[in-house]
Amino acid sequence: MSTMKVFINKRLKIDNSNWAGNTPTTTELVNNIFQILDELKFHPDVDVYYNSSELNKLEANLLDSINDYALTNEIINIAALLNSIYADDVIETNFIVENERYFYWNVNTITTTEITTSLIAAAAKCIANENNQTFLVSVGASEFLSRNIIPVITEKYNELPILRNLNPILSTSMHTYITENRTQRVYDHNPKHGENGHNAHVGASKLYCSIAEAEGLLKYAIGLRGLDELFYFDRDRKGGMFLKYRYNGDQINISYHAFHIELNDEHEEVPIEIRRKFR
Amino acid sequence: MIKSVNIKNIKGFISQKADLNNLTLFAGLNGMGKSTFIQSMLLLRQSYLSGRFPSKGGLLLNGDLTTIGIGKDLFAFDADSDEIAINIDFDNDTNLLSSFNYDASSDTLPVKNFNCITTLEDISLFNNNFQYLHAERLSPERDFFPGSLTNVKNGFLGKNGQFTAHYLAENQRKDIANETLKHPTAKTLTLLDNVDAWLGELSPGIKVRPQYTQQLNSSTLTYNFTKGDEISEDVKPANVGFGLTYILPVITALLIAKPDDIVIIENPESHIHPSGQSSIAKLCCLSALTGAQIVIETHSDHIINGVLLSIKRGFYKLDNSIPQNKVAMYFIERIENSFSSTIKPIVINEQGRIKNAPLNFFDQFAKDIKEMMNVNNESIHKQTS
Repeated sequence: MSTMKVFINKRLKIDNSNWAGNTPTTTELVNNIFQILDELKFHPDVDVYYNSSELNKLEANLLDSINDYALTNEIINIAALLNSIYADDVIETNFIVENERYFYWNVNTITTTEITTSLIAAAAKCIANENNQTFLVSVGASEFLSRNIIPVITEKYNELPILRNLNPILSTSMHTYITENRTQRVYDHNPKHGENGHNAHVGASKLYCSIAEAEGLLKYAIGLRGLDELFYFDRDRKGGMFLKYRYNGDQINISYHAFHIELNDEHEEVPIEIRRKFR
Repeated sequence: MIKSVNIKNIKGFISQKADLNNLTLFAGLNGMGKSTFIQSMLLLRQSYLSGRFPSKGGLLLNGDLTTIGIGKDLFAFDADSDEIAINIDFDNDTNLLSSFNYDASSDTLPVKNFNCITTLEDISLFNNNFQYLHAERLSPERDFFPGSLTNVKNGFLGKNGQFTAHYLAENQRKDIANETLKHPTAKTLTLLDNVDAWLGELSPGIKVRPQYTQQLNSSTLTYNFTKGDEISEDVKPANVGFGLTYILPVITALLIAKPDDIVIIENPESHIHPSGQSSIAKLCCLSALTGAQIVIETHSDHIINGVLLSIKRGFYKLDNSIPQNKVAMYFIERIENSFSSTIKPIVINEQGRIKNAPLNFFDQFAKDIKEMMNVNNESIHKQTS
């Protein structure tokens, strides 16, 4: 199964044209990076990429924070968050192969401009194979002025060029974009949990909704990296209880089965970050 | 309360003053002189308690509290004169001025000048309102801990915390020094309930049972773990986490500290898990808030961060907090191209934030995470440019 990839893109200009609204202040950029990382930590099936040279530039602009002690230093905290979500630096990751070039396609002028930005070139390389599975999230962008897709041509030696649309997504739309476009998760019910609160095996947790509901809600479940479980807060059961999706262990068809967590067990069974996210 | 300690020609310092607060923390790389201010106070105390200071002898370099050696071991490498001085200001406008003649080969330095308008017995540094816990405390790898009726009566836990078991056995049902120090899960104000509750932050469900045997003049500690109403078999100190017995004197000292008491603790973080270190920092803040004067020497960013969080909570008037104006924090470092050290105050704002911290002030995590994520990692950017 292909994994969705998000490239955190600080650049607001492409082809020297401002396509993403007003230029934000450094503080707005930093706050937006925190919002983006805070969202991405709940999507363990999304690989995250960033460009460390952009972080260096950001640090240079953070005149007030640069000498802040580690506990409250914004760049240190961004770096720690990137580390916690296993983000990779495109500078270190060898996405780009020799004899491969990437171009912006300007539909208005019918011209191409070679992409020289490491991060967007890396994203272009990925969308050549995976289309909507790869997107850019645009730090500090509040709106898109001129376009909300970036046509990108990948040119390989001795092969036909590939044209794909690279999607720049606003941080506010990222959750929905990920939910709608990631590879669909497979629900494979485990009968020991029963259905609608009935027929669960003795000692097994119960599924209080129908199998169809559990299957439908899987799409919206969130998780944390390093766990083989996802969670959804089911507000319709017992005044609100967590639905836990457990990975079935099948490496080929990544599938899950579900059961509800009794309120008394919530503190042990549901990570605190997940509980806070839903409440 | 001690307002400031001013030392002259002692170890790494030619002349240096440190203003102390309700809570004072000394930090720094190894061998920079973190302990020197503490040792200076201990030298005065042990000299006084041995009857040699301010008259009949002088500054006793080797005693119950600290062991320096001989004069040349105390004397600053870069000393600017033959005079060694320890001057202390107290908050009731009392000043203690003391200076000593340098004698390289003697373990007692004669008093040159002494002046203090108050009787030393009335000052916490010299009476029983004092506690000092050395970095090396008594190991749990033993079945018996020494007893000492005199020290326990005086409320002294021992330099190595060696009388803690005896003290707890004798005073377990007495109330802690101040209600502010009561742990939220403790059922009563009694010392043992609260020791158990604070230890519980380090190891959930732990209970300690101290016992003193007069015939043997020794004490024992046994631990139990609780789970709901269930209680485990007795466990010897050697068989529970090493850090629990090691931290026991620290918790006890903080819980029994009264207003104006001086409590000096070296490396409270030793053998404690990070979350436990943070809890100990919280207890230090609470104890300082009740009016005791707490002086800490530490290598732990969890202790530092715990204090900063307490200050932040103080700013928002929350529980378990201390206002910024009751905390002093120092980073001690060597002066470039010199054998001497200098003491840099760490400026903390009202919300617990530190700006412009000196290089090497608990910045290892920052350095490591930046290298890990290639932020200002010149080698990786050179390679790929």
